[in-house]
Amino acid sequence: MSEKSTLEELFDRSIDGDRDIDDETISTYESAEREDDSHAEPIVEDEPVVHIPTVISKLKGSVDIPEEFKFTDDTTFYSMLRNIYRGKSILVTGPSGCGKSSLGKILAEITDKPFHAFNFGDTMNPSAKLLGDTKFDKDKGTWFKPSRFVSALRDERGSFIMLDEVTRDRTGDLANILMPVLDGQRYLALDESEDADTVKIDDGAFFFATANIGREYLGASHDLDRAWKDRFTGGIYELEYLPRQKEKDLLMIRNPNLKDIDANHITDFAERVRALYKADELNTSVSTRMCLTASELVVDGMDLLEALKMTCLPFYPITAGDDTERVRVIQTIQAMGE
Amino acid sequence: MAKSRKKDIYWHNVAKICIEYGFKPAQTSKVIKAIFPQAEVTGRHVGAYKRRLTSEGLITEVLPSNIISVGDMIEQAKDIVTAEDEFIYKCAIGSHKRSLKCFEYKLTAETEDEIEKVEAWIRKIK
Repeated sequence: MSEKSTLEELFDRSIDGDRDIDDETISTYESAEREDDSHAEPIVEDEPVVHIPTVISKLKGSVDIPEEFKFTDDTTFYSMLRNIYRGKSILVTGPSGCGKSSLGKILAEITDKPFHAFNFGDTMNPSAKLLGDTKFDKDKGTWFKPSRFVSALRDERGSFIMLDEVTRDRTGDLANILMPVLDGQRYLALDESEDADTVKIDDGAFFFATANIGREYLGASHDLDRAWKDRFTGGIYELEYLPRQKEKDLLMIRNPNLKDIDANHITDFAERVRALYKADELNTSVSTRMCLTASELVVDGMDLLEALKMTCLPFYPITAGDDTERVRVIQTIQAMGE
Repeated sequence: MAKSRKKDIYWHNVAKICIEYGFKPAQTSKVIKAIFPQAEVTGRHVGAYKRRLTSEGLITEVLPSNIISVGDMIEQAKDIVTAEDEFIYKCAIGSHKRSLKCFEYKLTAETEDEIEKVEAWIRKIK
C-alpha cells in the first residue's frame, strides 16, 4: 500500500484481495482526507451574471449622438448628460472659440431644459448681474429688482444655467457669490446682512460654466483657482480644438456650399498655426470660430487668402521686425496659396 | 469578465411590467407609445426584448392577460415611469431633433437661391 493511496483505493484493493479493513484504518484514512480537503480551494459555482441597467448604459442605448457633437468622444457626451440628470455642475475649459458655449446650447436643447445664459465677459458688476439692483419708483419708493439669474434659479422646470467665461471677472465677486450656489448649500443670499433673503435653488437646476485657460487668458498663473475647481462636482472637461478632419466636417456642415479644397486649406492653416502656438512661437492660436468665419467669407466670394488674413491677422500685434508673430502668420497664410 | 453589450433603453421598465401582466408585444408597444409618444418602438422591438428577458430568466411569472385592460395599464404605467427614464426619453428626442436640424441646414442651402436673396438685398439698398 502506497502512503498516498485514498480510502477508495483501499476499498478496491480489499475487494480484490478479499480482505477486511478494520474501523481504525478507515478512520485514519478519513481524517487524512479531511485534512487534505481543508487545503483545497473551495468549489464555487458560477453565479449567473445579472445585468443591471445604469443611467449611463440607458443613455447609451437610447440617445444617439447628434451630428454637431462630433468633436467630442462618446464618453464626454454621455457623462455630461448624466451630470445634467444628477444636477452635478460642470466646468468646460479650453481655448477661445473651440466650441464650449455651443456645446452648452446643444446640451440644453437636447435635454429640453429652459436655457439661461450669463456671460461674465460683458459685465463690470457681477453682483448686480447675479443678485439684482435697487430701483426707485416715485410711488413705491426704493425697491429691489431681482436679477434674471435669480429667476433662473427659482425656475421650477429646472433651468440649464450657462455661466459663460467665468474667468473674465477680475473683481473676485463672482466667485464669492457663486460659491454657496455651486456647492452643497445651493442657496443665493441677496445681501450680506444676517437676516438676508435667500433664494433656494430649484433641485433641477444645472450649472454649466465655461472658462478660458491658458497663458493668454489667465496670465502667469495659467490655471483656475482650486476652490473654483472643487465646486464643479460633475467634473472639469478640458476641450481642445478639433482634430483636422473633424473640424473640416464641421465647416462643411455649417457651410454646405464650401468647396472641399477650401475647407482643406482652412483647416491645414489652423493646424499649422496651432503647432506654432504649441511650440511657444505664437502667443495665441487660431480658433474653430475663426475658421468658421473665414469659411463663411469664402462662400460669400472672398479669396481664401484674403479671408484668412482678414479673420486672423488682427489677433497678432503689429510690431517692427521681420520675425514677428504677424509675419509668421502671414507666411503660413501665403503657404496655403502655393 | 466581458462587458455586456446588451442595450438598455428607457422604455424597458414599462415593457417588462406589461409583459409580466401577460400583454402581447403589440399591446405593450401601445402602452409604451401612450407614455412616450415619440418613441420609435414597435411590437417587434418589444418581442425581441421579451425573448431577452426570457432567456436571462428575468421573467419568472406571467399573469393571465385579462387581469388589466390596455387603458388601465397606461394609467398605471404613467405613475411608475421613473424620473430617470423620463429624462432619458427627453434626451433621445432632443438629440434626434438636433440631428435633423443639421440636415435642415443642408437642405435649405440646396434649395434656397442665395444669389437671388443677395440681389434682392442690393436692390433694396439702391
